[in-house]
Amino acid sequence: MSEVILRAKGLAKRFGHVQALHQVDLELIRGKLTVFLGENGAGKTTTLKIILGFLFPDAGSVDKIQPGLRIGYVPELPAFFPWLKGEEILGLTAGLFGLGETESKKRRDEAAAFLSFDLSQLKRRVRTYSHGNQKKMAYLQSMLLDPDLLMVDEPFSALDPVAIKQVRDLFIRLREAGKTVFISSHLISEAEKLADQVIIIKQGRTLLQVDWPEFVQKGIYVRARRVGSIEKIIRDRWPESQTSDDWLEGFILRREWEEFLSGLNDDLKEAALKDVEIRPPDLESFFLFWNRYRSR
Amino acid sequence: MSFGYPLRFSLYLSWKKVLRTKIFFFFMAGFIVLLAIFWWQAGYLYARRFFFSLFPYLFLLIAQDIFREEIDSGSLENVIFIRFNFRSYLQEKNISLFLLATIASTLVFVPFLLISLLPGDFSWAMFSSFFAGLMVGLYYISLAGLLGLRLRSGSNVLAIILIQVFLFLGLLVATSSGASGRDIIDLLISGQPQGSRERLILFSFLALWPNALTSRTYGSLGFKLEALALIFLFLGLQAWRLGRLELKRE
Repeated sequence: MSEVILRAKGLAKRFGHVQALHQVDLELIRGKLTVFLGENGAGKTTTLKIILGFLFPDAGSVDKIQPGLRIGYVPELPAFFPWLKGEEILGLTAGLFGLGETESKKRRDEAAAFLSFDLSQLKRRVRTYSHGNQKKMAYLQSMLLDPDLLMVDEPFSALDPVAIKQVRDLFIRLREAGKTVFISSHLISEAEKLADQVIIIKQGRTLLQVDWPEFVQKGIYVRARRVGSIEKIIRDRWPESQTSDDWLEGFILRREWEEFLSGLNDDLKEAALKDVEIRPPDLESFFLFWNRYRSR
Repeated sequence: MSFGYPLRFSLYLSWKKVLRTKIFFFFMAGFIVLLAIFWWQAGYLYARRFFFSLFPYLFLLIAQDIFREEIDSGSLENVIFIRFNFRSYLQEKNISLFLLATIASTLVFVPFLLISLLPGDFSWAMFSSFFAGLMVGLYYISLAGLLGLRLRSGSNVLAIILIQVFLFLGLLVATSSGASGRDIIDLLISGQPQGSRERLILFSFLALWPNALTSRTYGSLGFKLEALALIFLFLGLQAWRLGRLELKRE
């Protein structure tokens, strides 16, 4: 039974003349890693900031269903008080959240070892760090809180391949510990290795939220040519597919595809479904398909 | 009064920022040197008067770029401020900066107080002037804070100083511009308004140069209440604007 710990419903947000969000709905499930996908300007960061309370929604609501939910956050471009050293920022964080010195040092050292973060840097002001190390510092600060939910905007940006692997492992470790991770990322290949849930947003609207491993197990990608004579049947029975001129494309559960085929007589199948390509779904083509064609 | 953000952390952050603000220390050092020169040249009482008139500027200076740097730098988009509302933190900066500037002012005031005990120059009015100066300091912080929601890089402080420069230039011109100008100067020197027009003139003068409140001329409760009303107005406007503040950095 999946337990929703945070739910956003009907979020809308306008900046001046730009309607950044129209209708964003999402649910975050305990112990799952949710990947938030969308083009630049689709509204991912705005959604994150509304959830975190940095922006007010014009409409809609965010319900933190788990009481006392501890949230960690790593922005795409972390910034810290320019006049503080790394150790001062971590000390301030530990103090504010009531962490004892031993516990905070333990958590800091663990996270630093996991991310290969050189602790001697903490003696310097954070703004003197490289972008990659500033990002690591943001992870370090969040991990100090032992968050129930870690939200990360572009988790892999500014990181080298070694650090990307480390961050990926960190997410896996958090998930194994029953924590929830919510990442907004353009790096689909990395996201695919991690995703439990996928949410796709386009022009400020949530297109869908799907249990990705289940879909990978049960779903297929279908592409076929010369479908003109059955286009109406396709539209009726498989509205989520896309037909154009003489071809058909879409993601569908294998069972539904078989049901769809069984509803066609052999002549139609022979005449209308030529060169059928069926393959397991991958996140990149799944995202591109939905992003290209679908809008609610 | 609780804003939801622990004051000691706000104090810590403000203190660290002040330590980095070199101009504050230059001003402090310059101020002390000027006091010493006054003392040497004109005597203790003049130096004391000079101190009371000018120490509120410590509060103004400490409030330079009170909000904008943090809002624009993105440092408020931090995991800390998911639990501890950044709007409360910004509001509490008024208090923490006021406390820091009060400590700095007290450090300069205490020697004056102690020395006044030696030759018999002590007067209870010193406390009255000092507390009036603290109120002026709060006035500056609240006004600089309100301006600092829009103006960047210390231009909130610069704007106030420029307005005061123009005020004094205007007064200089007024002294040589006939009877009506001289009447205004006389009114400002006496601090005794006759009728609502003169009261309005004095009120405007004090709104632009509140340091006058530290002098005996403007020692009446009415003037102080007017200043207090403006402080509440500025803080109220700040709270209203801060309550609607969003972190829109892209």
